[in-house]
Amino acid sequence: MTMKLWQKIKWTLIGLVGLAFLLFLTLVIHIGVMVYHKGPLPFEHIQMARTDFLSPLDSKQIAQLKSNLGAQKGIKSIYLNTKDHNVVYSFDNRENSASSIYQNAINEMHIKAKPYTVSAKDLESGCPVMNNHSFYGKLTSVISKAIN
Amino acid sequence: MKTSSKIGLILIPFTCILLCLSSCHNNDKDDMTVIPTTPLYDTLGWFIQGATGQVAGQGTKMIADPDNDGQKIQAGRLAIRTVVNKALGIIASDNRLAVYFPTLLAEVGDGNTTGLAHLLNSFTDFVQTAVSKQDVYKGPDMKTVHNHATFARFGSADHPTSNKQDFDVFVGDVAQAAQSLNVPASVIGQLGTLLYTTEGDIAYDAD
Repeated sequence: MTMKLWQKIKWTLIGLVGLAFLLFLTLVIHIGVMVYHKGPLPFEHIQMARTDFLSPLDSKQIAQLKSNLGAQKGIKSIYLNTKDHNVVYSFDNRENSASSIYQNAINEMHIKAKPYTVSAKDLESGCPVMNNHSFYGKLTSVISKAIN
Repeated sequence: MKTSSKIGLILIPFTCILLCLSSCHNNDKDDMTVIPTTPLYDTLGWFIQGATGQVAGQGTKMIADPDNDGQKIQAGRLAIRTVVNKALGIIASDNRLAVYFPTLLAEVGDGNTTGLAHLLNSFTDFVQTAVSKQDVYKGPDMKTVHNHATFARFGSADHPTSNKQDFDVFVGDVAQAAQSLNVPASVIGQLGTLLYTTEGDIAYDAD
């Protein structure tokens, strides 16, 4: 009697583990089909940074700022907002960093400016984008790297 | 235990998997048939390719992606992505909107995929779905994610929803981006009308 019960438990466990494994396999295959040949995201490494100016810039300063920023390595675009007195620039984050660009292009101009920083708390809110640190996000990137 | 029930234990999960896989396969088949398009999507595709020749069919035409080596992209999508990319820069500089898009200006480690890339992609998906009637946007619906009560990442307890004024600023920024790229005014007008169809879901005080 006990033997039979053990047998039953054993087979139920094998069944459950098998089911879990097959469901996981389904998930992996689904993600695989989804990301296969998808290639990398466009602009994958393009990062944006912003600096706020405490007072409006004159035309000479604007020209210098544009040329300073344009000379930095990896810079992709510069957008100057004269209404809110700030500049937004994008760059390749494999070639440069926001702080180094700020130091070399803006700080050396000796104008009152402040780099825009986003706190971890700010990041908890805002527009929804897929969270790459979730289990699903990590699994997706692992599979994508494996098959592409 | 009988052999038949043992077999059953193994067969049932397999049947589940097969069902899942076959449903997946059917979706792929649907994608292979004619890709939906609209006159506006064709116009955008025609515009990004230099605005010459006939307009029809230019939206879904596959062309080389200038910003992604070795990849192809629908011309209409490329046009939309170009406008969205420009618009995100303007939005990040806009004091009224930057708070809603912290991911755009977040510091990302060297060589990691940036928030800009993710937002650009999902935003392009959303606009492409709206313009072309293709089903590419897979994210949550707009009403759910623009209310702190239903989507914790949006706003705060004090400021749970966005309002009409925010939405006007947003559409204004997108229009400004399109203008700076010399998109014809009539096309911008159509894009604006399309964006305003989502206003009811995004701004709590919309008419």
